[in-house]
Amino acid sequence: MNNILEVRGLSVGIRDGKKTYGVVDSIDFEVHSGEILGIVGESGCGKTVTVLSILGLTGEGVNPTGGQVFFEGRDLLAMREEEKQKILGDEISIIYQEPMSSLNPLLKIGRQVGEPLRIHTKKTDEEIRAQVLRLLADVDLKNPEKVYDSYPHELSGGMRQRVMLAMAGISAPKILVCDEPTTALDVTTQAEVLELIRKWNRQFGTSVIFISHDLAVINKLCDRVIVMYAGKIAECGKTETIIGRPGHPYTQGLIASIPTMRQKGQPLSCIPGRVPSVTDRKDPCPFAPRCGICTEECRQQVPPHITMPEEGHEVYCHHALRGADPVPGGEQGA
Amino acid sequence: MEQNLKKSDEILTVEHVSNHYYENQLGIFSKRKKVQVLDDVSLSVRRDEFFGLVGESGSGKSTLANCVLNLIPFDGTIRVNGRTAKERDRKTFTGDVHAVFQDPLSALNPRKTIGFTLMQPLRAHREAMSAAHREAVRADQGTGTEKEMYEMAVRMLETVGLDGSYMTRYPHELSGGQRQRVCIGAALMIEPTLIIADEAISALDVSVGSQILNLFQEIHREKDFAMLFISHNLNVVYYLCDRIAVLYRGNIVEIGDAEDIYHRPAHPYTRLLLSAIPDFAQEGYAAHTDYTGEGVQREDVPGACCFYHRCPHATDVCLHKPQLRPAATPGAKENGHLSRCILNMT
Repeated sequence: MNNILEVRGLSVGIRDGKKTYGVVDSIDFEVHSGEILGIVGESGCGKTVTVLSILGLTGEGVNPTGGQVFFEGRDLLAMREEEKQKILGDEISIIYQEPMSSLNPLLKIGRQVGEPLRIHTKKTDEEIRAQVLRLLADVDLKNPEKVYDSYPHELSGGMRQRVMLAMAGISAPKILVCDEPTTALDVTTQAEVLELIRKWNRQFGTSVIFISHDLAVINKLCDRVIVMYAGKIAECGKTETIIGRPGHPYTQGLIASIPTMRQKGQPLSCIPGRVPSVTDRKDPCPFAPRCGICTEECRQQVPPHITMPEEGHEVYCHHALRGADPVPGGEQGA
Repeated sequence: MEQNLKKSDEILTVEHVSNHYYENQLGIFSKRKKVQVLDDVSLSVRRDEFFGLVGESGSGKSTLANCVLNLIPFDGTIRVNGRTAKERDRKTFTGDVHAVFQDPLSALNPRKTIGFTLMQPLRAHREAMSAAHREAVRADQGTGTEKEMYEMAVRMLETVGLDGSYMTRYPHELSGGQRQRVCIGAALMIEPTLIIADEAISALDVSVGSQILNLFQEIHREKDFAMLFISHNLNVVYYLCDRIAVLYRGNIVEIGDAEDIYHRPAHPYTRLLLSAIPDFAQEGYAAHTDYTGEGVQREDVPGACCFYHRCPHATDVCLHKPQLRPAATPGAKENGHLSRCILNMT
């Protein structure tokens, strides 16, 4: 399987006066072409910052401090701004959590969705209109003609998110980045939007990076999952491995804290404490202060990168191999 | 098991409550459009019970909460401890009902310390308490002097899993979970008989949310209060609550024991909700059904069943609004499992 996006040793720093704090700490991962990759973690774990810095969309004072991001073999971080612009508009698209803040309230939907075509192509108005209507129908909007002539405030949350998806898809991108796109939606609408994202992925072969704090949503949608904690990757692997046989205590804690039927009447197990702020990350293993199986070595050595028996399952933890058989020669010092 | 309940066992009774507002249309001479938010809602919460209220956004969950808190006008009767808000003065009424809202930062005064916020209900209710109650509380905990109030607030902070050092801190210094703990503490200060939790854990991370859920259960073991727990998350509501009501466009479409609602849902809307929940354990109703209510879209007909426009099973009989009646599940009548569906499917 070839990788459409490769992230190598990416670090992101946030500048506060003269000091720089590391928000994301030299992470490596790759996106296979045609897959849906989930990134999961609590708020403040660096999920959004990671993808935004890949796209160069971070705000003032937040900058990549090291590493490379290869998109089809070319380093996005080393690229000139004009070159990058081309890739970003055309090959990589993004949709956000709150669709209303990404839509211009003063312009009709049809105008906004068709804008890239009006700027980048020489198509006539009729051709653009036809293409936009087709796109709106593609995202399962019931009445494309009516939506075309509506303003954003006239649509419901689910419809707005569909419009965002249509906007993101107008250039047929190779990667679609979704930053918590369903968090603000109702469960029934959420199910429909997830179905739509999956349909796009299957139909057009678009790779999807899907950020969410909800493991259940990730489980429903994604092929592979990266679990992030405090700016580092805690664990990554196939979805069924991560959900079924998690190796990192953080992932285990996340899964256990979701209420399911069986636990009715019993207290939920939960992870004590909270994600340390960027100014307060001292332990080599950032999860050590909240971890139930933390030992002395967790406070002194950076957790090793351990390859688990299952394919593609990697865990960054001293105690990952508890209960599992290590792969001969699979353990690598980090 | 709860057959011999007396009326007095009901902490909260909501009877035929309706609420509407008028939406202004464009143009000066056009008629204002009436929007029905709550349509003849009746339910009751028993002593010591956790009652869950589920629905999508816009279904009227929070409006009902605001009606119970007497914050907005409504038609119908709402009794707390057997009396309506009109029959008693505002202070004694608010002493019985307290609320925890979704966003703790907007619920706390940013310019007052946590200690001040926690002691505020005590100050406000010191005079309002009935003499007998005041004596009882004084003998029990002592709420008379400023010092006694301070000690009570510290004790409350410990109850909700914080400590006395938080007394002098300000809301912005706390994390979301800690702020929500303070809000719960403030709601419990004067020992209300009913707590309304309106999406109280929706804005929190899963791990922090589960801490708060545990806290609710821990406190419930020690203190005697009922809770109206409002959420859009059926999993959480099932986990926490004894009984559940499902609200859709201002109508209760199904009401019953949590087990019945979750495992033997009777109304098509409840089934749709349950099948839409992403759940990696795939348990309960969603596990053994391929029910998908997607793709149905009809014109809305006035006077029809509230779910008519989305219901996959709707026929012409659904054009008349159905009543709540016992569902077609075994023992529905005895358990009070009611569904507002004329087809009454099994």
